[in-house]
Amino acid sequence: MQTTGKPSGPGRQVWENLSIVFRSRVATAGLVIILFWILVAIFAPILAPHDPLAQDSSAINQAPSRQYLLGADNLGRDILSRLIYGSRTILLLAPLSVLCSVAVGTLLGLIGGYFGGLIDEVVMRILDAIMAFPTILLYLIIIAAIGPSALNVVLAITFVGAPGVARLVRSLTLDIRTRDYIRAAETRGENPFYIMFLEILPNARGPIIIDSMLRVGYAIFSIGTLGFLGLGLPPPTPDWGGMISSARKFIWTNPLGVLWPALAISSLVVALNLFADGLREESTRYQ
Amino acid sequence: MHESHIQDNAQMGPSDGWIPLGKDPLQQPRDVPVLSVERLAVSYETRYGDVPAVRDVSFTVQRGEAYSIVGESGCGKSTVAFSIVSFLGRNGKIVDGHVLFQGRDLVGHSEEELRKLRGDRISMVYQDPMQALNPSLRIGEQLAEVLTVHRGIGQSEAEDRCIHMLEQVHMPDPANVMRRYPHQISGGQQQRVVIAMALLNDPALLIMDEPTTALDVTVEAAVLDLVAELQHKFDTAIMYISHNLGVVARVSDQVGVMYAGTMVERASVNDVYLRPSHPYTLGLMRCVPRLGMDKAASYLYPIRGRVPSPRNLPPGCIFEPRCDFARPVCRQKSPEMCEVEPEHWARCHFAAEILSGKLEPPQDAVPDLQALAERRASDETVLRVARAKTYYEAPSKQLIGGEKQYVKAVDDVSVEMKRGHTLGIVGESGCGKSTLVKTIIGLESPTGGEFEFMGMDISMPVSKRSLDLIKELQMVFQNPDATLNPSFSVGSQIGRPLRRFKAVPAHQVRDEVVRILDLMRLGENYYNRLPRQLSGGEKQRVGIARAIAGRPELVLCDEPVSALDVSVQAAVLNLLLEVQQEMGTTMAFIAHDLSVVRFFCDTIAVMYLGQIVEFGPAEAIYAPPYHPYTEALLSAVPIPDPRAAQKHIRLSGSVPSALHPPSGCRFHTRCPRRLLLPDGGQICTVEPPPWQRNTDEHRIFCHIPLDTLRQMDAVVTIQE
Repeated sequence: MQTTGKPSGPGRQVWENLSIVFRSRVATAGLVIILFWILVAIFAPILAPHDPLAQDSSAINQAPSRQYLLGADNLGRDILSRLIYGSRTILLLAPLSVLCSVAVGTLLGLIGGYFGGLIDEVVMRILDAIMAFPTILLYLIIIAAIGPSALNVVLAITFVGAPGVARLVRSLTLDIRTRDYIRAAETRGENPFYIMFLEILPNARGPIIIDSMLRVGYAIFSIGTLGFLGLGLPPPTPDWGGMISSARKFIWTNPLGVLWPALAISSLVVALNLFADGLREESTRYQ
Repeated sequence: MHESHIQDNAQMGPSDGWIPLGKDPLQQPRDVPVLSVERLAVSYETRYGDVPAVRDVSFTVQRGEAYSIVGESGCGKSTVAFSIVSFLGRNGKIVDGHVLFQGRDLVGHSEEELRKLRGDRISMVYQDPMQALNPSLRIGEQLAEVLTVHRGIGQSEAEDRCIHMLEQVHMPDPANVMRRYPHQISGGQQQRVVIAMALLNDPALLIMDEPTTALDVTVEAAVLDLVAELQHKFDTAIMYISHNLGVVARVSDQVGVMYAGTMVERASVNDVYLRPSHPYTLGLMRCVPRLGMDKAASYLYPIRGRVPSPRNLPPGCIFEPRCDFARPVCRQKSPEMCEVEPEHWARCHFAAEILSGKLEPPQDAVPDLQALAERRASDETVLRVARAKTYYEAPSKQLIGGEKQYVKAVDDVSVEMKRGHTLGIVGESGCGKSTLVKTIIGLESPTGGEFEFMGMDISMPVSKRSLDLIKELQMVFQNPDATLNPSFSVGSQIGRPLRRFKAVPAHQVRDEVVRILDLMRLGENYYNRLPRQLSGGEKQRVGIARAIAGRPELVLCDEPVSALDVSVQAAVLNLLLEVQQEMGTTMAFIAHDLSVVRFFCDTIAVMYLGQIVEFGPAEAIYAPPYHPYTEALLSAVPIPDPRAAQKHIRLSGSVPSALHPPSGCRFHTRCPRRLLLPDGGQICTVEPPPWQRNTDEHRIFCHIPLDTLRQMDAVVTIQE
């Protein structure tokens, strides 16, 4: 039973979690693609052959060539460089917005699930009301009200995503709070927030992490959609959704201009889904 | 429904109404054993390679015989059963040996051939009846299906046979039960339905895998009666799997003892229990308390160490690392099963010496608990609960308005506890014992009554108590897997109460935790372990360590050993005793095992439907005069001694709902002794009984005069 030879303490935890990932081929494939995009985002200035904002009027809607490997867009900007820089935006905004929605959702879910009764009733009915709106309509209303900007995109995704997280955390809390170690904490007279955050939350982290992975995928979709609808980042920021939107008008002259950013979005979303699925399967298999 | 059976002999003759079900094409002469297992070995494929779950298991079961396989969890009992019905799952396979059913080998055939060989002549009954019954089908449909689908019998005839079979298993009102869904009948009745379903095929072999483990002791006793009756009436061979030595002693003719995947001893039930010749069997017999043993006069000898993992078996004898008699030869050579005396087999190099008494188990290292107990015991009352009431509001069936209804989980209960003493609380599930304890510790709010702890009022929930008061009341829980937070190390979980109650200065917390770990026989290397790296017994010890860390005055134990194997149970009980002696802790101890309660407790409260019906010193509870309910409980408790004779008292029906408890004496609907009263017990239905004092400390809540109760015989007698 002793795990001698392996790192102990938090190091061991990380090691065990990583070994779960590598046990699953699906999760490994997902992780490789995600890491690829993360590296691209980090080394964007080195990798990008051109300035993503530089316009070349001689290359408008050009097909792939030696100079512009993936072609150029309607303003003559290099699509490859815009894709590379676009990964920075999306990989910053998507996890950030998910982090915010998980933080808000977890807090509400813990409170509703642990206290129960009237508090639970009020919190959950408000969240139900939010969930009752069609997602896209909700985005439109929020962005239309507060204006398109990076911060507002994060706010919108937090607002729309938090109820789902809260539902998940609440159901986990309802289960965990019946365990004897929660009774033990109560008989020690621990305060409710100690019990929620130190006794319950650490044991709910597995499903929350897996859910967050999937949510990052959805967030990428949402950011793409908002970009496509012109509610995302203000131009000329390289943004995959925005790129599809502007290339769409020229789809007959330069179909590849739509294809590349679409591929980028779907590869990242699929990778996140693979990663989350693999992780879930492996972590629940031998419990 | 409400009449009771009192019979002094358990066996009934064959009933006249029994109709045999068709001719048996596979009928064998009587001398061919129904089941013969020869050198069976089973492995499971895992990602770490093949794991040998069962090795070299041989036994035979004859017609009309009950063969029990007994052993602790994880020793391969169920795997043996599953290999007989070839239900090993995708990764299990029989790697060696034979399974002969009525003389034909079942090993090495396809599923289709097996079906022909076995016919439908092997039936199996599992532990949890709710898993065996389909919750969305009526019981009648499920039962009739067995006959209509497998035997092509017409619907109406099948239903008649099913009703008849339900009568055979003593199901009250069978025609009505046929129309119900599984959740509408009680657990004991569900298990009767499953048994009836198994018997519908007229099996030659009935395999029962822990069929009574999930049931209350009174229900268990009735199901065991049924098993014995069916065995004789149907002449079925029964293979009975259990971890409970008491149950096995009651049902079996022959016993096989399994340890770590192999059979270590097999013989008749008397030989195994009275003349064990394998050190493991001997150890098992020495670590269970027998009814009547108490902590002052006897000691439980736990088996040290733990069962080896099948992946990691010791060389030589598998029991060698835990054996008191181990010698060098045991480490080198694995013993074969040998016949110590006729029909008595054991897998030990020294079986003959153990049987003849040349080798005796060590008797030393027994602390003088009697002397310690006398030193500690005092007359100071620590806890006084008077007329306690805890009601739960039942959800109203009407949408709006309607009268509020209450589940009276604890109703008018008075107990007092003395410093350094242990109070045992016993009763069937749902009698309110857990609620009482939870109210005392403040997890539930009382509806009424006085709660006084060391002169302080404690009739409020834990959130309203002062830290000083909270520190004095701690709790040990039942389920070892849920008692510890899986995310934190052992050390931090024991250290938390120390920090919270400031029991020691912050910089000494670690040293104190290590000291407590030592007291728990766990050692410092457990400090950084996570709960999933511990065995059940170790988890329970950490749970106890956490409860006692702040040196509370009163520790409430809610079934602390019920989920543990017997050898581990003994170690945990000894540990609790030591803690109590060392710290002078007062304890309340909930348990359903009356032998354990008798062993461990000084005072006992017997609860029924939210009320205490008998209260007194342990020895007084277990001798006449009894409350009729106590008497019924004692007659139902399985005793790990085949010589034990118990009065046959079975309670009919199940515990009534606490939402509408019966009027007068709550036990009157099931009381087998009511008729002893001159008017046939009319008064019981109307008036709550008085508390009758037998001695100063012993009181009984009953209308029947003490003199009548005193004349009863003792429930349990041991025939020499």
